[in-house]
Amino acid sequence: MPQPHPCPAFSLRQFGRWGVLYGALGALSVAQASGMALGDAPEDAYLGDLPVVLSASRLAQPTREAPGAITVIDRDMIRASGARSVAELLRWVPGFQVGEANAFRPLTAYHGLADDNPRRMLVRVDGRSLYSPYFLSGVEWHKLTVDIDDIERIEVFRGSNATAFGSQAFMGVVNIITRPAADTPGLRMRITQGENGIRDRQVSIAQQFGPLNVRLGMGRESDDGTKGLEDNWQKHRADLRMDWQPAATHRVEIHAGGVRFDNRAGTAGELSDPPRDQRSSSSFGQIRWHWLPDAQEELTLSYLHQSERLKDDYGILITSAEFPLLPSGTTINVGVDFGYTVDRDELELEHTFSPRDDVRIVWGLGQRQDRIDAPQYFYPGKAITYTSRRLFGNLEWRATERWLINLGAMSEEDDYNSAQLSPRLGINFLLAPEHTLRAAIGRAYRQPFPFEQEGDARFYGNGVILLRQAYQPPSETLAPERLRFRELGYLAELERWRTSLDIRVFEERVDRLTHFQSTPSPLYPPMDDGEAKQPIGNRKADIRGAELSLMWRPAATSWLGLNYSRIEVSSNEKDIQSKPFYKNSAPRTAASILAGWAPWPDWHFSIAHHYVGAMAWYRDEDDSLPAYQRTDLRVARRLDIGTTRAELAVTISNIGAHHAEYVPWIKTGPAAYATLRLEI
Amino acid sequence: MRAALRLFLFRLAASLALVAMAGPGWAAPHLIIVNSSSDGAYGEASAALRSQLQRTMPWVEIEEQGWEEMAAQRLEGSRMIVTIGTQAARVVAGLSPRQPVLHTLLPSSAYSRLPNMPKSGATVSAILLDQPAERQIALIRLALPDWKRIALLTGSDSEALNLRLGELARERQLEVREANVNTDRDLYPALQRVLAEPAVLIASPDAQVFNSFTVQNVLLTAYRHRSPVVGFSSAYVRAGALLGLYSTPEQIGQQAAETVQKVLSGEALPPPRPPRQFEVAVNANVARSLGIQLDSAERLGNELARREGRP
Repeated sequence: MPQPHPCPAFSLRQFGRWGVLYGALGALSVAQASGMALGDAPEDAYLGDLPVVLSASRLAQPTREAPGAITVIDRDMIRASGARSVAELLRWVPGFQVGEANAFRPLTAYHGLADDNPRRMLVRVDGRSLYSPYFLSGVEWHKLTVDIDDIERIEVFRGSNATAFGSQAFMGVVNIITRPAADTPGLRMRITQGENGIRDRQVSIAQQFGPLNVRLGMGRESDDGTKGLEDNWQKHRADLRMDWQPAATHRVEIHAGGVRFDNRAGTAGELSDPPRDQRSSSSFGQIRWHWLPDAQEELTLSYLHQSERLKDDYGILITSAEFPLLPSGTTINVGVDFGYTVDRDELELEHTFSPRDDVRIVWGLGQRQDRIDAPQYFYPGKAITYTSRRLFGNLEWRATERWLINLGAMSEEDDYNSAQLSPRLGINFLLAPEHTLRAAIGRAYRQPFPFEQEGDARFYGNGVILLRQAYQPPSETLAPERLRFRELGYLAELERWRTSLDIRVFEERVDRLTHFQSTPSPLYPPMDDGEAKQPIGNRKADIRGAELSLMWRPAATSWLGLNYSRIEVSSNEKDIQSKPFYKNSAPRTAASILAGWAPWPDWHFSIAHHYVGAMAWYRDEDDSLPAYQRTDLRVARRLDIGTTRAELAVTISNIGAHHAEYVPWIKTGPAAYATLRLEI
Repeated sequence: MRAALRLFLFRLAASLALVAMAGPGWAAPHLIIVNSSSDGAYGEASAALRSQLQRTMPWVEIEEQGWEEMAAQRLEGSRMIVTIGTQAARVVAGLSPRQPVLHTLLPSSAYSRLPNMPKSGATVSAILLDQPAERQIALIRLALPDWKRIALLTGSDSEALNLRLGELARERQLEVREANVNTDRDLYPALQRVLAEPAVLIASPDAQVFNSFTVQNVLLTAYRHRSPVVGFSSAYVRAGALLGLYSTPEQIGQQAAETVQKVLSGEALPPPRPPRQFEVAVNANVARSLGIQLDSAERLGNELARREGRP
């Protein structure tokens, strides 16, 4: 039988696609010419209209006007850190805890109350929430598609901001803002090679087609993981950003990206968690349309679709040696499938406007829907659709030159709980020029997620015999966790001395904390003494403390900073005969010294030294971590060749003795790597 | 002596002519306005020109014509011609009329490229859109006294202006960072170079460097480098420049009216000039976000005018 020749069809298809692209670009140019009233007359430069570029959403709120403490890590600092992942950078923020569950799964929490799925802090990338809804809603840093070089700045709001961002921002928010495509070099390449099999390759291209700016980044990262753990990994990522200006008053941002992540998982010698390969993937597309009638007003409508997959199924063969209840010589086969599919759709509208010169109002509404198909987590394997809706608003009133008042609230409801109101009042008083006092009081709710509300993980032998129930659903629907906070702050921004000082004293009282507690299973499974973890919302924790952040920054690339935090956690765990966990979930004392300087032209040095007091990510005493210190160092040399900007840097992370940052038996030590960066 | 006599005779003739023309039945207007468009800025400039003349010289007859149907005979009989916009200026210059011609609402780069320009400027002049370099530097010193560094991006149309800006800035002890932009690809590295340390970036009306497509790159990059931008239009300030220095079509129209008044009263056409009246605009949101304390636009504008010797 004659085979059709594949080549012509293939090339025709390719041509067809490019034809569509060029056609679209042509249409854009026409739209541009007609929509922006810009002709060819030389005086149009003076008289014509221009798009609002620095709109409200692109302008960073001055820290002195924010209703809370904000730490900004900008691009110079990000680059100078030498960090391979964003999570590492949170060590630079007072009050944060950073651990590594394994080589690719960093854990980040603010003011403790975490475990290996920290879920009380939100991470957003250009408005997209980065958390996994299929299990315990932890932040999955390894699924970040954006390259660290494409990040404009990281704004960390220290303290609850559910008022602005909802349930997930219960204790804090990390906002990652990426560079607009227009502010990106035409071609950038980065190669990192180092110890422990570190091999990262990144490339990014940017091109302008009239009113359309496009940036495409791709990368491959990998390393050999942690010594003693099965956690070597390899990541492939692609990230696309398009900024399109169809008319002076409209701007459209399109973001898309995908990650394929291959890693080893499991524990050698652990029957139920055997060493194995995992493959996960995540992809998303997001469109944000901004309408900018003038510099004071902005309406943003965004839609996001995201898909996540994990393939992780394996079988366990149980013999009577491991499970004495079995008659000798018989075996049981247990099929395990931790795989999942999650599809998310999110629609959000946000409107900023100024009805009067001294008032600015932001309000919006949004809906998010997750379709979760994770049979192992939700017995009997039914797919779950989880929807949450929110309505929010904030009024910023510049009462006088010295008084600024922020009053905001978020109302959020989901399929399990009716609407809860998270309000906040913030008052900023300009004590003197460059000196601001700040007070804030408010309440926040965290809606427990589907796994907390109805998670039921069972393991069957030979498909029929119930052996173990790992998790059981709560006896009744969990009420949202509640946090009541108040804080006082002082901020000095001494422009003349290029110095800023931020001091914050806070109290956070959390109750109805959801906690997983081993409870007898009503199904009496024979393994694990018949117990299954069950969420109970009866914990309370009071967090009190202070944070200090001092930064002297004589130039963009030179700084000397000091961070200090003192966190005291008390809880009611003693009253309910529980082991103290929350109490140790944050170090009582932590401090960092950060320095960056350019002693000679074209050279740059950066050093970060951290002290972290004793803490624990888990409950058992065996899991307690002693205090540790950690130092990261980077030396970079610029080597410009014509208009090509090149930089060669050497980073040594975690200099010094091996120590534990997650559980005592996983100790990590120094890793050195070199990075070559080219920008054309 | 002969010159004085000639001037006397000229004025006498002009006065007689004016008297004669003021009479009924006179067909040819004193002034012909040739406009590039009747809409928008062109219409505003024309309206301001006419209303000013009606107040000060109500007897002057004005006829406005579009550039499309322009021909030499349509200009005959008038005493003076004012063009508004480059398109009108090109058409009228192409016809080389004998009357004095005042071109308005066009940049100096367009003015210098008009066809048939006479060697001496006796019959052709202009009120240009370009703000003088002195005024730009004075505004920066006034509004941002703590800023000691300016940044300039130079394309082929802005060489002369930026040379002058650089000279003036250095005279006032300002450090100047400069880079050339010859192609689109040069813009990004040039911005990185001149803004390596925060500086006041002066946008110039050079379409090769600063246009509606590059405005994003310029404003976003400058903002990230915590560098304020000084723009040359109100749209630039709305887009995200910290400060703007520009003249409105209305102000140009008024200045044109004053020139017309002088010429019709017998004075010679003055040489090409920048606009005398101007506006200062401030983007308070950008100022706040950059942590820059600024006076109000009105106070800055008044003070700048006062320093130029105007109330």
